[in-house]
Amino acid sequence: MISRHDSSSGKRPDPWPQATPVIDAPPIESPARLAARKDYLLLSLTELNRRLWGTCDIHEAAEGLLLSLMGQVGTTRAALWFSGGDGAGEPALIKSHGIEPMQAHALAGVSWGDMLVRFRKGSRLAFPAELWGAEHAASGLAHASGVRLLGLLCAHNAPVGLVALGLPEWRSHYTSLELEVIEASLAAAGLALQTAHLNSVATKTSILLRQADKSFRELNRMKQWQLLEQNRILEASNLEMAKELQSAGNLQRTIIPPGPARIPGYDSAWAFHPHGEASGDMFGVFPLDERHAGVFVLDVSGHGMASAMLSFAVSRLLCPIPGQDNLVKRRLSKPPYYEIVPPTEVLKGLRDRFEGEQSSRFYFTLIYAVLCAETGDLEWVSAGHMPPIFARGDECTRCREQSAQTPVGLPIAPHGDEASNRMTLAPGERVFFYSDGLVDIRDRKGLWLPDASLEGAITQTGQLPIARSVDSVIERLERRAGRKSFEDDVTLVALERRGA
Amino acid sequence: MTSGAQLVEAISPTGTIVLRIQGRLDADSAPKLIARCTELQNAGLSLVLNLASVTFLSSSGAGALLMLTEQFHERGSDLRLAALSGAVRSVIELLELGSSLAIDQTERDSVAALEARK
Repeated sequence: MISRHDSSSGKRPDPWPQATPVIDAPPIESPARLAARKDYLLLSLTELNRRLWGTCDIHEAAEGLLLSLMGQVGTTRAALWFSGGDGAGEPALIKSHGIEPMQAHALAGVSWGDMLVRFRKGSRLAFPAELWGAEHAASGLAHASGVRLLGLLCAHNAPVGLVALGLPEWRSHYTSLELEVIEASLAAAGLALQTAHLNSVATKTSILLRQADKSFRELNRMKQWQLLEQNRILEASNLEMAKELQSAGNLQRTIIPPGPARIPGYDSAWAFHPHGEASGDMFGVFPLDERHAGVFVLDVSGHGMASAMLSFAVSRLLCPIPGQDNLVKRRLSKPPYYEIVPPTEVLKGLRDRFEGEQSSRFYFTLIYAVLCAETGDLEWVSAGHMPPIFARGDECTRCREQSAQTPVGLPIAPHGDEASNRMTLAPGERVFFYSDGLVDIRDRKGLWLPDASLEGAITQTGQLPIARSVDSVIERLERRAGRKSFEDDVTLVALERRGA
Repeated sequence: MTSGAQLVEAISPTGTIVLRIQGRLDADSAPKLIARCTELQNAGLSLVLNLASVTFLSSSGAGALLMLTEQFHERGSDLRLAALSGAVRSVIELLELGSSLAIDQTERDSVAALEARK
């Protein structure tokens, strides 16, 4: 029980008889002075309430409470500890005036548990000597630090902090009015302090969230910048690649025949539509001598720069160079001082060059033919290429049973002997060489056109001059597919023996 | 300072800092008085608080005067209160703090007392 003393009664029980000797007894107060003191204390309580609820900072609220308490009883000593009200254990020192920090720390350590016990018994104020006994070491600690009263701060009927309060040097007691106002002050302060504490935590959390949000935005900006930078590099790289492809395409176009090949007794025509700048397809129609001509169509797997380079390299090997040994025509030491290389050997020569250790992940299909203009005899080899189509008027036939070898560059061995195919072009007959871009055609819905579409187009244009026939075949297939261009490289080479 | 209270700083001819408080010394103005006095104390100065124009002294104001007196004393400097207004004097008498605070009749007396301690 708190020992309360009303100075007007004349009784002044000493709550601390051993540790706190009475220095001087206050005079008996007149009714007017008592009334003035009561007004002052009640005013202080009103002011404190206003102050406590006017701040969201626990340190400001604690300072306001301590200053008010010090001014209520006229002491220079006061301290406040706060636990946060979450049952986290011993409260932490928030503010201290006139009490050594070490003493304040020790005082909270020894008093918190005992004050909780006292709280459970229904009291929130305690004199140290009453709490522990005048001889107890804790009472000595309180005395040495100038603390004469301990009070619990409560919020929602739960302890959230502790307040220690001194007395003026000359006094050894509190009046009952002072104790009532102190108790009221602590009761008002507990919830306000907890609210301020929660506001502080909320503010800190809000600041942390803002910082996290800022960091996240910063990170996002950095990522976006990195993405933009990567895009820029990619675009630059794509532009560079497009330029190189364009260069490769330009180079390829230099070896495309400028017009129909001049073969005595024959008309020729061709259509060449690369898919993109550089093509994997390539073709050639060239005279081997006065009576023979060579024809080839090749299709390198894939698209782009590497395909175009391989296509270009193979084309150069197949085009005869006057006066020099090459793959299709070799020199001899006796008349006629040259020899036209048979198609099977040409194919073997290509395999020697593009297979084995020098092979790459690219391969190509090829059809190479030698035409004897006088007789119309046509001898060809196919390395996995589409068979030629022979046409006469409204009839046409795709050569179904050609001796076809595997494409050049595939790791399939051994190849065995390359066998050639033979056919004779009669006067008025046409032969068409082509790439698979004219066979594997999908319409706009993604459906494949029938296999015989090419033969159909050739038949339908069989009465047209060969050059117009070739153009018309391409147009018809495009129209049938519903496209303005094909999905793959497209090559079509046609020869017609005159004299029907 | 808020609530109509003002803090006017002056320097005596001998270099002593005098703070003249005008208006209410209460829960609103007390923290700012403490903050300014602490700044000056940290600069190694002793102070005179002229309270002649204080129209109201609340418990928080009285607590601030007590706290500052103790703080200056602990750190070896001096704080003197000068020319108490009636409002201040009545509270100090009510709390019987006359012996706990260093109080002088006039600002000049406080300055002289501080000069004498140098």
